[in-house]
Amino acid sequence: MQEVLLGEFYVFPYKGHKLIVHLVSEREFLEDNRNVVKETLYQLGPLEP
Amino acid sequence: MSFLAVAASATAWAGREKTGVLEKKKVDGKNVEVYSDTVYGYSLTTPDGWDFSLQKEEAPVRNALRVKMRMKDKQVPSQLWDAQNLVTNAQMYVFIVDVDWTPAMVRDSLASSQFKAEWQKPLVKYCDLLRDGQPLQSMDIRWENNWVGAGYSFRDSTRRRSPRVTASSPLCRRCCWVNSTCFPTRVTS
Repeated sequence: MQEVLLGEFYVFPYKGHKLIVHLVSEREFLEDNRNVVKETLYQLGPLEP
Repeated sequence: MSFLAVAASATAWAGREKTGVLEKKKVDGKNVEVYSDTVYGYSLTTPDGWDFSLQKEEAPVRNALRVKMRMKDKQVPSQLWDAQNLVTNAQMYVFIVDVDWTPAMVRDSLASSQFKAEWQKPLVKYCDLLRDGQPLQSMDIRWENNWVGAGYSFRDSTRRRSPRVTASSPLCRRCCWVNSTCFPTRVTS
């Protein structure tokens, strides 16, 4: 059996909270969708170190 | 008594609030939607080809799931051209939780089957893969723009088993990914 549906979650500090993004994607398109997450999160600006 | 009535009505009202507002805008000639979170103050523009789904606040506490994004069209993997009903639209859930841990600690606790905490409940509620998936691997994330985080991959351990395809099933003509034992019997007609 080949698993093709993947989920990834990303955790970042954000203004004293934790911002968690959960992405669900077909494996074949994971890299593309990961980039969408990245571009979307960049709209929030630089985060605390 | 009147205090209780006021408190009760305030709670009920809070339960009907949305987590944010959506505005349609034109950016560089493109129509986009902008989500602005009413509690945390940030704004996000829809990625191209995606749309937002607003969430409701969950009285008496804030909804940890702030907004959900869904790709409008399905991305169909080549193995599933003949079984598109098994394909899930790509989705993105944005949560904000109050937990005073490092991202790596949050990651590890979410991936752990032993550890359960109150703040995890909304994530598990909305994310099937956190509930039913099999953890794959953890990763440290270092993106540009000072983004440093921690992520974890899950794979679906339930959905793709369900077709129960056998070598004689019509699906086997193209869907050998379901059961590798049917590969030698692939039919091309």
